[in-house]
Amino acid sequence: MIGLRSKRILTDTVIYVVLLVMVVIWLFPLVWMILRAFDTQTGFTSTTVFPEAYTFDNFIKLFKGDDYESYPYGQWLVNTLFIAIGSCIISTMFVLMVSYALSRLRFSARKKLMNIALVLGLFPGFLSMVALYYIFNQFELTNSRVGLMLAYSLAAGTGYYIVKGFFDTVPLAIDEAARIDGASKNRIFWQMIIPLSKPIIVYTILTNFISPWCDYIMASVFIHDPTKYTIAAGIRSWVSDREVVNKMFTRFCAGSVLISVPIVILFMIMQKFYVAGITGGAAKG
Amino acid sequence: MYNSNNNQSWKEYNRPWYQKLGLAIWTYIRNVGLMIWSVIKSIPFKLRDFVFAIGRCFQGLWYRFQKGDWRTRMSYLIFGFGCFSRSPKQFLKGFAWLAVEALFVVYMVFLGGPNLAMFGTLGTIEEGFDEMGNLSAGHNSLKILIFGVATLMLLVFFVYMYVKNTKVAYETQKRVEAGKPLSNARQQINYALNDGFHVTVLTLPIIGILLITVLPLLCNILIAFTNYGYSDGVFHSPPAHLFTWKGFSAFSFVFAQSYGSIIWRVLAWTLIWAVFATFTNFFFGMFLAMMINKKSIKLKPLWRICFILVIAVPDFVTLLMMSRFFGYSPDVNLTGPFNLILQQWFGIKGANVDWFGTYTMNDTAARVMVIVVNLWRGMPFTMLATSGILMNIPEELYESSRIDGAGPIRRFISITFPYIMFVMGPQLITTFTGNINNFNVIFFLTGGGPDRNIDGQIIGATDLLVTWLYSMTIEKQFPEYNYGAVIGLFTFLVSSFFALIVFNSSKSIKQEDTFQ
Repeated sequence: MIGLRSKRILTDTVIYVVLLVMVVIWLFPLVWMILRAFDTQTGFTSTTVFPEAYTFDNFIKLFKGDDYESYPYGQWLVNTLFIAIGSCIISTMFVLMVSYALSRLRFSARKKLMNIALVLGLFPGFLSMVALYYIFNQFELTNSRVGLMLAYSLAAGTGYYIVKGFFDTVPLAIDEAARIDGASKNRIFWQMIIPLSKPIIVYTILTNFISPWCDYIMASVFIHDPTKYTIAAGIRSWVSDREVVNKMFTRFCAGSVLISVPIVILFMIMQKFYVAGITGGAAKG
Repeated sequence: MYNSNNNQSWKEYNRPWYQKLGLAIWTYIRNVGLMIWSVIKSIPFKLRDFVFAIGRCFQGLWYRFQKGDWRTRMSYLIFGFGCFSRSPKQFLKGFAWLAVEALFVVYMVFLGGPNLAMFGTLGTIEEGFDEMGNLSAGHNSLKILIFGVATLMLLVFFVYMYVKNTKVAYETQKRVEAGKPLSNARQQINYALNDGFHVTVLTLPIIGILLITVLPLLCNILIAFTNYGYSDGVFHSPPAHLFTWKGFSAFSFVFAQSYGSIIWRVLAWTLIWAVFATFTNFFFGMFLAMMINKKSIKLKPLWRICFILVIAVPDFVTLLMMSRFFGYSPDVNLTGPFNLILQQWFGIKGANVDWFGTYTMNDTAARVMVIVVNLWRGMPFTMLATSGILMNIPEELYESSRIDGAGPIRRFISITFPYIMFVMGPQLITTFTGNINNFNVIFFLTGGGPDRNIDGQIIGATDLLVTWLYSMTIEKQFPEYNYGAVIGLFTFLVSSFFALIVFNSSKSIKQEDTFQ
């Protein structure tokens, strides 16, 4: 008995040590970035790993300073917020509508639509960027925040998998009971399915809200005017080349920390749905 | 049909592992071959069905024209005439049909017609100066291409609506003849919210997808057959120059001529990267999840959150930061933080490694590093997913195996791993195709570098097909859109080859009704 127990204690200790070492390795770069955000130096190069003196200057300079005109972080924040809210509303509506149709309604083109969506997902996203840019240019929607918002959200319907998977698990008997009581399909959608699917709707809203904060390519291709940049396109320019890095690196850290805090919080709320989304669809099989 | 063969080969347990692996790969390739063959075989039948459907369509058109009264026949010219001319109740429906026709005609006259007419040549007049010396605008090939494709799509839609319109007109006539009442506006709206609800909810999202995804995609596929971009020493790009159809010349350029020696290198690295990125994340993430989920380990949520923090931060932030964290400078004292740690904390004097190989042109270092950083970034995702699965494994399985005297390794091989694979299998392949197209990790860490000049073409050691496509079409001063389009198509073929496994094996697609 004692042998077994001490063996278990040994393995547990080994696991604790391994986990601890891993946590240190995993979190160290983040800690380093956070500390550099408070550095009194502004450049990247440094003779020490951690800063020698700390200050809030980097954060203050994000919002006001001599060079705010050329690096308007506050403006980028507002732009991204505007784009994220707009595209989140449109995307969520579209995803819910498509998921409901594909999950609950039966019509002839249903299977075909699902196959087409699968095939479309296999093309690399920016294969279509050049033509998309030109189409938007025709409607004067390039170099515009509304244009970028529409580019993010109009095609959201293809990302229906997880929500549809959730709708599939809501028993059909509920629909049938409502039908017998004379409810229209429209009413079933709004008054039965939506209230029953709150968790997955929260998930959809959060993912759609977060994605514009994280996208770089689309924003950098569509927007040329630095005052219309989103955060990602904006602060990437602070570390893009050698000279700028030696002037702006710690401000990049400060800017990153500032947007990461809300995103991290939202992600933490979202992650349990993320797990359900991955395992949910397949666990049924 | 192929599955039964597949099972038999797997039953031969006593083969060595490499033969099993070879057999599995061979079986897969054969199955894909059979699948493609069965698709090809069905093409004549599909074509026949298609021709028959068109035939039936015309037959129906003619039949309804013969049987129809003058109102129905007028509908062949004026949409919705059969509705709004019969009763004020049908005004809404009839004029909605009329609006469709009017919009289409206006579009065709102003945009569709002129552009479609030049679709065969993609424009003939170049921008230039007239006799007065003024700049005169020429044709814009890209505009012609895009509106040509859009018009063709609309034309198909219009023909469908045309046939539908005659059907509606004829049905209305039959209702009147049978003495049944016609539906009023309220009933028509009710229909849209009930039996026709799928049309109501799907219209806007599908228009969005057609506009943002399908139309640009079709245009870019067609661009592969043109000389759009810098080719033959001229920058064929509107508005200054025209471009035109060139058949398969861009394909031969990419696969046989200048890019011929590069594309296979890039493909090879793309596949190596996808294999390593997928499997390192999967196995390490699984072991991490197993360690955290071990019964006697305390503070489980805390351990989990530490790792989740890494993926919660937007990836362009973490990746850009990592590219600096492993930074390098020729000056030993001003090098990146990781080298400084090695020097100052671990006492390795003069430690100054060019981790991403940008200065020292060290391909291997760069390739290993992108996989390592990807492991740092991606492992928590697997940890998160497998944690959920591990908690669902029935405890009885472990207890009975313990009674049978199975050790921890045996338990892992026989219970835990198969269980995880069962749930994560399809996900694993999706991740694999996702990694083939994993733009962010490469772009933010190395930008594709270290760059090399091979036969006059610049290519980076860590460039994937997608980052190469990006640098070719977006970063270059004179972009090569046509070659980019060819590479995009090639990438699509590569990813769909692997995605076929999901089509084949994913039961969740076929058995979606299980829980309803």
